[in-house]
Amino acid sequence: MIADIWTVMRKEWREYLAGSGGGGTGGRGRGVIGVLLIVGIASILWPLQMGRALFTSPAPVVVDGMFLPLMILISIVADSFAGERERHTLETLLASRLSDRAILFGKLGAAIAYGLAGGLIGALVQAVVANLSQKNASVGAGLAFYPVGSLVAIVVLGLLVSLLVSSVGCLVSLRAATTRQAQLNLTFGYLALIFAPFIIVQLLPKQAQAAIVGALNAAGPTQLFLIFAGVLLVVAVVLLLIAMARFQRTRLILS
Amino acid sequence: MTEAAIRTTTLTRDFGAVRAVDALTLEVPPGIIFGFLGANGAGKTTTINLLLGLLEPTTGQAQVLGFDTLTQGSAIRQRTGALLEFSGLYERLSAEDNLDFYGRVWHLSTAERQARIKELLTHVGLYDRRNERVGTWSRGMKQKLAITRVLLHRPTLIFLDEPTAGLDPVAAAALRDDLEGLVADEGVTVFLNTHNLPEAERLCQQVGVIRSGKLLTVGSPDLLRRQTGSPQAEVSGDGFTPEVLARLLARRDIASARVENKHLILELTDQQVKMAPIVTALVEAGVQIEEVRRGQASLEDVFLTLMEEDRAKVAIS
Repeated sequence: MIADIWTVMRKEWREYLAGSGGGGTGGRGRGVIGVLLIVGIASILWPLQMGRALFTSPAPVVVDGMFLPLMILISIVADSFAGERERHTLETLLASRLSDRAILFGKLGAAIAYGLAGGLIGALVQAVVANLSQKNASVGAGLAFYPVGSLVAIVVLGLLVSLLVSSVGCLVSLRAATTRQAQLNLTFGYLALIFAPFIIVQLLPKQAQAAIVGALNAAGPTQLFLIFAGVLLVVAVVLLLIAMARFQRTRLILS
Repeated sequence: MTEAAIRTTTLTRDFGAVRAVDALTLEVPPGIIFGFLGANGAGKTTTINLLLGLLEPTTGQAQVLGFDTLTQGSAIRQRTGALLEFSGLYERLSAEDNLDFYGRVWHLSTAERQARIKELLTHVGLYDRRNERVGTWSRGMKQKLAITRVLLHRPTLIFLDEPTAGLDPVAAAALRDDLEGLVADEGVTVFLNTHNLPEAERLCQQVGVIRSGKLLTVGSPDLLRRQTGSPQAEVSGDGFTPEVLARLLARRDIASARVENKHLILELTDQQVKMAPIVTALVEAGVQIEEVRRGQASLEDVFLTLMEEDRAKVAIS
């Protein structure tokens, strides 16, 4: 099973790296270029402006732990299942000896690793750029890096967000006939995930709302992070379980 | 008694209101090429999907290599290879990467994988192009690669859905030779979906004809020709006038007569019909005969007859 998951992950990465160039000869590397563009834009401009102040800011946790994995994965996960169906490779994959779980976990594992790697590479690039920034002239010489707590937060959030995005992507693209349809469904799925907590809180009685706001105000940054990570973990695991239940090859051939 | 490679019992699959496969009962012996013939949309591809356990039957059951398709699909897929309706190749990847992936899927060791890839790609003349992206290739090259992928892990049963579609005549002939070799040398069973009737006639030891999900008949091509097709005779020459045709049609031993490209095609009512009296009648009618040949109906004639008979039955009911 582990060997099969690894086999699927290797194939997925090779496809990511080859990009979506269709039949042309110059397509290899387009996937990497797309990711590098996202990482570059998010990792060069504002670290240049912030300098070493970046390392004491909570912004890298949000950008590298949440924004970058989300941006990198949003197109990849839709393509992972719906794209295989659209390119008529899914049936052949399903006709192989691979188990349903090996295919599902292989695809999810590849996406999670890709999203997490994107966030970490972004954090490293930002660290290098922040150290090279002109803004550091007033601070003096020497190199700076993220505190351990921020690094752990980036890794944990990156992992959870990647798991969440991949699970949602898998769920919405399982029955989508095309990548475009899957991406559309995915956008609605993410919007629902982002706005659902706010809508739920609005529906609660005033006293309960006040209690939640009070508890959040009283909590320190570490507690807030743990609450947020805990909620992400629960939602991601629930979605993963649903995806596992729905990913059955006898339901995946659309006729 | 040898166990059948494929056995289905009233296998049925519905898609909503459409019945794609209708009470299919079939037995395919091991070590033969079985041709599954039918027009587009007849239910051939759905049947393969059912046999591979990729679809659940609505009713009925099927065993492939002794395993139940509903509960033991994994064991079936472990022992089979399939070229489905589409080549199923990853077009962004190179030919070698495609084969390497499926070699890993079937747990071939690195050395075995590399040797097998080299052997198969060399055999189909694609080894020198193994590093090219498959998306840049012609349809025929992709089809060759897809067939190579099917054979990579030496399956005991192969499902092929229109394998020679897109292949040039030389490549198609080479594939037919390879399939015959696989069956003769390695005892592989081939389940061949096709509407290429000459191909089926040449390759298959048994054929089944399917229309609208229903199996119309099954047997060896010879048996079907005897059962369904009428004996024929072809006369080459000059003078096949409408009057001559009318005189022929008045005879009891001739079922039909038509002229195609200056050749008179006669459908005889019986295998026992003698040609000599017919030739005499033609000469007396002023026909100049160059050649007379007796023959049997082709598989194509059998197929068309079966289709026509079934259509008529449906119209009556």
